[in-house]
Amino acid sequence: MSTSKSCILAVGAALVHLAATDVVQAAAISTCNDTPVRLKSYPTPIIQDGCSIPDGSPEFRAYLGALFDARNYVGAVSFGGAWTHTVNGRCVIEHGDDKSVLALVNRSDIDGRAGLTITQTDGCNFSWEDEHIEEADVMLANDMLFTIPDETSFLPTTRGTAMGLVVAEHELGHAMGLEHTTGYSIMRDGAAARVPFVGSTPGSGGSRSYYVGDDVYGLQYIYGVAPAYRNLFASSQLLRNNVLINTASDPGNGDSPYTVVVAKCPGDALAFYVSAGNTGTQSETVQMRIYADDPVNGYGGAVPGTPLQTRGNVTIARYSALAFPVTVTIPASIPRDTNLSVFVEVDSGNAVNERKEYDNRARSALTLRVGNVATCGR
Amino acid sequence: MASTRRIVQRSSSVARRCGHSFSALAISLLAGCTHVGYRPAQQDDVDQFPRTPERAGLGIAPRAFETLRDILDQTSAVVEGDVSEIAFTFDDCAGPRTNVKVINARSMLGTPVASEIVLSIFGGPAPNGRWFRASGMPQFALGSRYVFFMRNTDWTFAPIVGDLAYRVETIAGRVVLVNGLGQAVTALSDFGVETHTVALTEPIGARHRGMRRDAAGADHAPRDGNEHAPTTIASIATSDSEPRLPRYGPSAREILASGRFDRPAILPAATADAVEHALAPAAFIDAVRQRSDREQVRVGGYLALQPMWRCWGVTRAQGKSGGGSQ
Repeated sequence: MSTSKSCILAVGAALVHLAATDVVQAAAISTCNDTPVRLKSYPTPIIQDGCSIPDGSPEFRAYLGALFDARNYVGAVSFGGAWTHTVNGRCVIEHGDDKSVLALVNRSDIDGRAGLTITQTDGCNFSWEDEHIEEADVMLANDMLFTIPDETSFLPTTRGTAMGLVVAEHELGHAMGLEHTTGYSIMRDGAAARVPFVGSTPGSGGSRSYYVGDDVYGLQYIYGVAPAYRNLFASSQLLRNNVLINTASDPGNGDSPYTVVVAKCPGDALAFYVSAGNTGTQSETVQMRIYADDPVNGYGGAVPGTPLQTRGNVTIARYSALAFPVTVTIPASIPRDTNLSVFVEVDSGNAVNERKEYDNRARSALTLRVGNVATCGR
Repeated sequence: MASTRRIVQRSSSVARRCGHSFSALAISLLAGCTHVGYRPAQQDDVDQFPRTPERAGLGIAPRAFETLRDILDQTSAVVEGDVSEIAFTFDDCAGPRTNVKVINARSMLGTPVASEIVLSIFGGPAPNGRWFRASGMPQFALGSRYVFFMRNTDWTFAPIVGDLAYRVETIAGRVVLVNGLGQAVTALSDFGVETHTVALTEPIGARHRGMRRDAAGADHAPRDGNEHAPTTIASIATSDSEPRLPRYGPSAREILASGRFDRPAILPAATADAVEHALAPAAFIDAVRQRSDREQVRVGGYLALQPMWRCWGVTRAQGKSGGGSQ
């Protein structure tokens, strides 16, 4: 695959390959006569179904969060307010009524899917025409949780898990014209719920479910605007040989996941992955810090935890993701006989003035426990 | 459940406003079959929601398919066949449909199927000239051989489990199965069918074209780099020598010209190394059979070729706490 810094339109789909430090982007869109299929008028108001998404509920926050996140990058959608449409006392959403609605529905009504978006376009009829999305109804299965997920591990299913936020973002992506991709992306295809999360400091308001570089590039390509934006993020997932895995995987052992508390002594080596990304419009060169800390408190503080490794001058290309294996040596100064999580912090030198400073630290699922002097002999 | 469905099933506003004697798409456009837009009223009359599927299914609800067990449990048959023709239809309940005619069909596993079946996938033109589509639908290319998982539940959007329809391709001398994004099937896992390769082909129809000749008579013949001979597809899609699918809207020739169902070109990334771990169709079927035995899930049962779960035009909104009733 090309790592050229120029954009390449592949035949058959606008597959946009961007330079990345080691990850190739592949945002996918549809085109009509070589012009992206996009919303006809924007911002298109996305209406909150008042029945299934009560104000103040977690589902409401998912609706707001997805719209806010999209609006960080393009003005394609806006808040449409609440709307309730009832028939015989039952709430419904109607397709083909020129109103774009986001609603929760029974999973059985969307053929067992976690989410489904029906779009209405004006067609691609003549060789000189563009095609426009006139309506997009986003339907989300109501058996998902809409709470903030734990970013450490991708989830194996959407049923009964905190996948509601990320599915809302994914389906809103369809509403704006994004198609499924094979990359590190919210729009990543797959029946199972394997999409990446983004780290967010607890209590910051961050949802851990955000468009990543590939998605942002696709949106900006469709809508033709890329206002200056700087943001880096840390993640606990990466794409490895076309498979999404968690960073708590052993590069030296076939990427097998760490599933138990890893017992170590000072001086021992420990190998895993780190993952970060850039949703901004420019390449950034920053410092990355890997540290061990308390699983809950490790997000906070100016210089938290026990440093395991610091890398300066890490370059993350715009709209890209970056992941690589690391091997750290357990320092003698690390707390003993206590479970510690491994964190990664991007832009730890705080060199970039970012839109979202709260998404720079991500906790890995790797739990480390270092023995005491009696156990380890040092 | 049936009574609940009946309340919310209705004909589409599009069909009501335009009628459903399917005149040609151009006539709809020229006649000014305009889209009225929504009415501000929040309460609709009962008689606006008369529709239920005309043929009742068994009322078996579609369920999540996020594990291999879920998939197998909802599969009536794993079918292999050739896509010979694609046409659009519309009716009040089923809505806009892309009908995929599969010939030489045979069930590799599960419930036997006729040698010729039509897969009715949601999406296509409405009588007023608007086009509808649903995300995540299985994609089919004309003139291609497919292996697909058919549902044993009722359904609204597609008779396939998710988008589990795989095109048979020969890449670097190996016969493999690729999904709609062009990735090859590499394994079965607890999550389902894994496709852990790079994209070996382009997606189907992502870059489509206007289907009609413009005033200058532009040539819309399939183009650029499709290594599969377009004449083969054309002869399949436009032959008048066999009974045709009922259709309205675009003609077969126009559908062909649009490129929406072209067999995608093979990408340069499709090397022997890229398909090193890809499964051949026979190996894939064997793997499905073995996993079915191991999971003690029988592939088989009910097979509905028509959407009989609910009508398309409205969907009941249902909140987490059962919210949805006023």
